[in-house]
This record gives sequence, C-alpha cells and structure tokens, in this order.
Amino acid sequence: MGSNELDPIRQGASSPWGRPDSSSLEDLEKTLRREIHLAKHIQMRLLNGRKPNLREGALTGRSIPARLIGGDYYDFYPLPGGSIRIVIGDVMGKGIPAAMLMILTRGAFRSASATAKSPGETLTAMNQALYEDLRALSSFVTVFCADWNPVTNLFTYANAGHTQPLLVKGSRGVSEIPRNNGVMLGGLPGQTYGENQIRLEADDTVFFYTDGIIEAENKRGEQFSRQRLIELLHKHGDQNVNQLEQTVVDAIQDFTEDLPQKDDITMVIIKAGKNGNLPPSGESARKW
Amino acid sequence: MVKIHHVQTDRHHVLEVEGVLDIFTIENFDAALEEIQDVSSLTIDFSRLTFIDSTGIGAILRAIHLSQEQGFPISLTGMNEEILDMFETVGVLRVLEALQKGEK
Repeated sequence: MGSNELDPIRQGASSPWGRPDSSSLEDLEKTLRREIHLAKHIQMRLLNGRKPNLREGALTGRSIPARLIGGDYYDFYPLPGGSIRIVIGDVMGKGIPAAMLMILTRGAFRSASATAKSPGETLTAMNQALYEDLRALSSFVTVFCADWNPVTNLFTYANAGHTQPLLVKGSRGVSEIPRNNGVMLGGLPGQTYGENQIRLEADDTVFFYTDGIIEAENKRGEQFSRQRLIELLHKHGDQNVNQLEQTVVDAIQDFTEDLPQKDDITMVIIKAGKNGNLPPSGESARKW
Repeated sequence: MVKIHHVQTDRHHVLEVEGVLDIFTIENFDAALEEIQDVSSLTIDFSRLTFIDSTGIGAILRAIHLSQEQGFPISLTGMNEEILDMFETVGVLRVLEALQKGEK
C-alpha cells in the first residue's frame, strides 16, 4: 500500500467515501483546529469537575497542560460515609495521544471507585481494566490514589508508580508521606496494590503533584526541582488551599519566566480541618 | 539531544545513551533498538544519561518487553541516584525483575 493512500492531505482532502469535495488544505487545517479545541473543551470539563463540599477541611486541584491538551489527570470521588477518594495520574507521553489515554484512565477510575472499597482495590481494578490496552500501546500510567475522611482525618493511600505526595506540617516542616511504591498501571498484569494509612493533624496539608512541576525549566535549562517546591511549601504551608495553589503556579511562572513548558503541570491540595483532629497515630515520615 | 552509541561484541549488544531521553529524542533510541539483530544479550548503559521523561521510560519498557518476546537477557546499568530513584518509583526495575523471573 502506498503511503499516500490514507493521507487526506495528499488526497486533496477528499471525503472518506471517495467523493471529491471542495475542501482546501486551509479548510482542513481549520477543521483540525476546531476539533482539537473541542477535545480541549471536553478534557477541561472532565478534569475540572465539581469539587465535593466538605464539612471539615478543604481541597482543590488544578491541571495546566503543556500543549492544548494533556495527559495529566486528577479527580475526586465522594464515597459513602463522607470520605473522598482522590486520584492523581500522569499518562506516558504528551499531547493528543496522552489525552486519549487520560480519558481511558478516568473511566477506569470512576468505574473502579463505584465498587472498590479502598485505594489499593481501586488501583488493582484499574490495572486489571487497563493492562491489555496499555501493553498493546506500549504505554503506562502512574497513579496515586487516596481515601481521605475529612472528619476523622484518616488518610489511606496506594501508589502505582507515582511521585509520593508531600506532607506539610506548618512550621514543623515538609516530609514525603511514607512510601509504598507499586508498579505503574500497564506494567505487569495481575498486580495487587498495598495500602498505608496515616492520620492527619489539624491544618496539615497534603500536596499531590505530577513531575511537570519539579521539571519545569527556565531559559538556562535549570529545573524548578523538588527542593525548590519543598522550600515553597514550607514557607507558605499556612495558606489555604486556593492561596497555596496560586502561590505554586505563580512561583513556577516566575521561575520559568513564562517559557512554554514541555510537560503538563498538575497538583491536588488537601488541608485537614481544625475540628477534625484526632490524636496522631505516630506514623513516621521522611523529613527534609 | 541524545546520542545512542551501539557497541557489539559477538552477539552481545550495548546501547549507551548519552544526553536527554525524552519525547523529542526518543526516535533515535527506538531506531537504535530496531537495528539490533542477532542478539544473545543486551545492556543499556545510562552512565551518560542526563534526563529521562515518561516517554523515555516507555522506551526502556519496550526494550524490556522485546527481550522477553525474543528470549534474550537485558540489563540496565550506570543509573545515577536520581534516575535509579525514578526507575524504582515508577516500577521499571520491578517489571524487569518479574519478567526475568518468568513470572509473566
């Protein structure tokens, strides 16, 4: 088969039924642009769904794609009993291909969350649903999933290859929550994902993120870096979730001097309420 | 920018990755991997790798799966602490270990 046979541009933009039409390359380009913008609209609507109303604590999330559309994902899924299931994920690659797999990942998360009783079960079900497709496409997704009860402040989590979130304890510093790495979704079939649990204290902040934040580059090729992020969170950890989200976005923009970024930037921030603080469980965390 | 140095000794192949392995450079790595023929073992050397993104990790996974499909051992060497940490976080080393043990 010749390389032109499936290329509508080389075919003079004829219709799929073989009937010649009057579309010029300019029209075709306009159509493609319109479709990409529609795809962006769909993705933004799906990404920026309604945030759950909380009696205690607060949460927020933001995703800034490096291109028109991206492969990062976050979501909140209210559970019976008042807990919120939180997920953040990063699809391999960038742009339209990553965005298509991000939609697949969202479907798997929402479907799994309807029946899975915990974050570990959720990731196990997601890997089961996605493995064959991801393997066939030579792709993968890293996902961190947590159930947070804003009243008891129990925070239970499982990880499929994603960067571990940071725990901000006001002036007491910033630490990585205890690790429990599992394999990325699409890496191996039949994986089960273990869980850890910590209890947050009043005003604790948990910062979930994708690597686009720490890998944001300035004109000198320097990266924003995890150390810079930790220092920023330490300095501004007393802000509310919306203020802190904007502080991080502003800091990245200042650092990069608005240089277009190579990777999507996504964060989810939760803050434990003042009245939901039960005694800490004594879980240890790695500190910087 | 990436350079892939291919060294062959008998049927043992070494791919040394120099520079950045990301979405903008991955075609060079994929082309080098495709060129490898008649292989008894493959080593991918990362001692001169300066940065890798998720697309680069995807390419390493493809090499691991290729080794499983074609039945030759593969080893990853020369990772610095940061890249080793990334491989461990994402699960690259767990996939390699499981496939080499013949678990899947």
